[in-house]
Amino acid sequence: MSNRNPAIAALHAERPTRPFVQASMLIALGGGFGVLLFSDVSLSGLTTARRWGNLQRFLDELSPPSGQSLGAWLAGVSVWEAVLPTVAMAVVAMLIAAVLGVSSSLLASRRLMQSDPWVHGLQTDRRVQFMWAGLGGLTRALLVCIRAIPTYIWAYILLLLLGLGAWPAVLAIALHNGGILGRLGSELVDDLPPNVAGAAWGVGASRWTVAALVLAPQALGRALLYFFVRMETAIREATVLGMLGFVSLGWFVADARVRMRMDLMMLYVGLAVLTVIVIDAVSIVVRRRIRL
Amino acid sequence: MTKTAAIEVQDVSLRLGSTQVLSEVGVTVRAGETVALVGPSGSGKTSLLRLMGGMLVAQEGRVSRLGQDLGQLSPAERRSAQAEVGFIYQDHQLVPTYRVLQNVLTGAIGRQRFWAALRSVWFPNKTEEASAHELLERVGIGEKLFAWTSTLSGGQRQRVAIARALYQCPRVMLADEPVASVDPARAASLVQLLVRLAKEDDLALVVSLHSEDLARRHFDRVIGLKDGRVIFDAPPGALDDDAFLGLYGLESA
Amino acid sequence: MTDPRARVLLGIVLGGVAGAVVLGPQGSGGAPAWRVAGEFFGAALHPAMTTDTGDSLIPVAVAGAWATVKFAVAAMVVALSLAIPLAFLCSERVWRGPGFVTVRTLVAGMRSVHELILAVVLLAALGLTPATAILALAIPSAGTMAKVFAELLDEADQSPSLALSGLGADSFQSVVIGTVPIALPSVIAFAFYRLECALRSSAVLGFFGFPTLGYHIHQAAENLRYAEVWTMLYALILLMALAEWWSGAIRRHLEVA
Repeated sequence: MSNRNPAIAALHAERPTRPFVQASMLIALGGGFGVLLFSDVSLSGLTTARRWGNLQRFLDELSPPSGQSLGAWLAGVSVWEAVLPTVAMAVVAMLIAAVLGVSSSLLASRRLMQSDPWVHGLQTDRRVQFMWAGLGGLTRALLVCIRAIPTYIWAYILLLLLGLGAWPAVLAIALHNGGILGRLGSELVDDLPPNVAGAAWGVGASRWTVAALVLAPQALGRALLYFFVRMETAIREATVLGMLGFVSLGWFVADARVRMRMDLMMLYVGLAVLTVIVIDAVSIVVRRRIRL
Repeated sequence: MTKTAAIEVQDVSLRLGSTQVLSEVGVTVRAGETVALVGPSGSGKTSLLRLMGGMLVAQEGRVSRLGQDLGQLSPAERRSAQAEVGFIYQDHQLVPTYRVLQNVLTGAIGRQRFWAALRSVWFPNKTEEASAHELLERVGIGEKLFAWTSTLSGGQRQRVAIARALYQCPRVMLADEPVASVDPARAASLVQLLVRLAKEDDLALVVSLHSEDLARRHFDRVIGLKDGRVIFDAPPGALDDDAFLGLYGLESA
Repeated sequence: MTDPRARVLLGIVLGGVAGAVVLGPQGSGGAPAWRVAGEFFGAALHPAMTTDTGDSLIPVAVAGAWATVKFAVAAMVVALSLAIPLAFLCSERVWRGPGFVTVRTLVAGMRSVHELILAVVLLAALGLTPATAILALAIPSAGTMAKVFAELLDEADQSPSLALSGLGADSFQSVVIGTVPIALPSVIAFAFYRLECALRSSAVLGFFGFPTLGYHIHQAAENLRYAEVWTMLYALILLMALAEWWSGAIRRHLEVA
């Protein structure tokens, strides 16, 4: 392979590159392959004889206990009792999350948390400026912590503190997703064009008035989009949280597992998948109508 | 050596949907000839170019290029015929996230098998770099070899598009309003570049233009189209201003 | 109220109220144990640094975090190897042959099952082995990535690929060489976002027996060692904050919306 002629070599040396992205991809993919091939966290466990034994046993248990007619088997399945609370939990949790998200996004927005949000170069009291910025920074830090904790872990903790029931789980879903909506919302507020808002501020409206009357309508479309994307996650989480002990689809899955009824377990798993698919479909339809 | 026509359009009529776009159009272009197509919007310039480029099929008449009747080709033959035609679009149609070098190299993928094409565009070797550089020098932007295409101006991107077309080693070069989105000063320089390249490489060049001034100044022949028909087809010296005014419906009488 | 968005908003509020009615006020077994809550949140301020036996907790936290990372990146590699071919098969511009509907249904199914439910099923089927966790994390991720990648491919600007068809490329060549590079920045950004999600789910899998951070949180909570719970929570928060920052930085460098 011939070498580059000097002119091209010079151009090559000066070419623009994207070192951060390339390095990140190398680390992530290289690390992944390294772990998969060389560490204890690998797929090797799939091929041992014991696995096949387990799998055999599992597949055997997938058929209903002998002697039961189809009718009797189906009667043992509580569809509505499992699905309805699951969906209800997700919807209520997302409503709370929306409230949390909207309020925290205002307090976390870099643009709003200044003494004069839409005016540049004003000499303001350093202490006041510091307090606003501090409030913003504090809210952002709090949001980081809230959404760093996965919903399942939140639910585990809240169930520990508040006792068994659906509402602690609802709160867990609401907190985690509210944290995410808060971050997304604050970025949305910061990216809005400042002209109309600035005009309202210039006439003396308070920042909360401006937020409600000017920013909200501008941000509404995008915000609803984010809401429905998170709703799809919330419904998945609602199905799963039942495994922690109260009534949702997940509880039926865990219960069937404990009773060694793999057939019922797979049925409830199928039901969970179906519920998610249905809610996702509704979400997509609504999202399309919002875009119009 | 008698030159067979590089492009021969015979008695072609084209209807798109319910509109009669071209009626009984006949054009012949030889290797090394530079032809300008002028006419108002909707006169059929783009459709004629696409017919010559093999992207449209006429309902009546015959289009042949380099001796091949385009209507009679199998899909595989059609693809390899396409590889010999360099087409310049108004909006260059380059991949913005590639380097300029890579966009030039995409010119050859019509001739390559899948993995070879992928390798040459995504991981070009030094020979390919050198060939692309040479072409970029010919069009005047050699130093942009490794630049991201998205950082180039409109005029520069058109030059990259021209280099891509040249990389195909074409026999025919077609350009559809290549300077419509470029400011007038740069437009003249781009048109001059196209004409010069056509002469140097003995290409048949057909360019559609809005500006009759550029057409008369730089081309061997000018063809005027109106409502899908050829109004005139002559060297610029044989045409006077009335011919052009007639095209745009502004008769002087 | 003719604005569809306002109507959707109203629908959400009504839906929420209806849901609350369905769930009913649940007198959870006794009033919330305020003392326990106070103790728990009080421990937040002085997370434990050592166990009862005096050994440092830091290595444990680090090991838990490292295991969380290992499972997540291994799962991502598996997920990507599944998602990329599936994405081509789900893209309307690439594949319209037979089996189109089957593939899309398969991907929809993969997307809709939650990592933890899949973990329960796989644990029953295959037992406690790292492969179970990897598959439980990888399959839903592969499903979402396949769908999103296919959408990004279909919605990307098609004009360069048309130009490539014009110079003789066949349709598959023109998509891969002409459209994939346009969609690639968004694809990379989304993949890193999924890595973030995989880290979260990986931490939770600890509750099911795998050696990630969730395992240590579970152990500490079961034994009512609240200060230790907070140590692990802080480790988790640090890990997730780092992951979020990295994901955001990638997005900024790629200038993706």
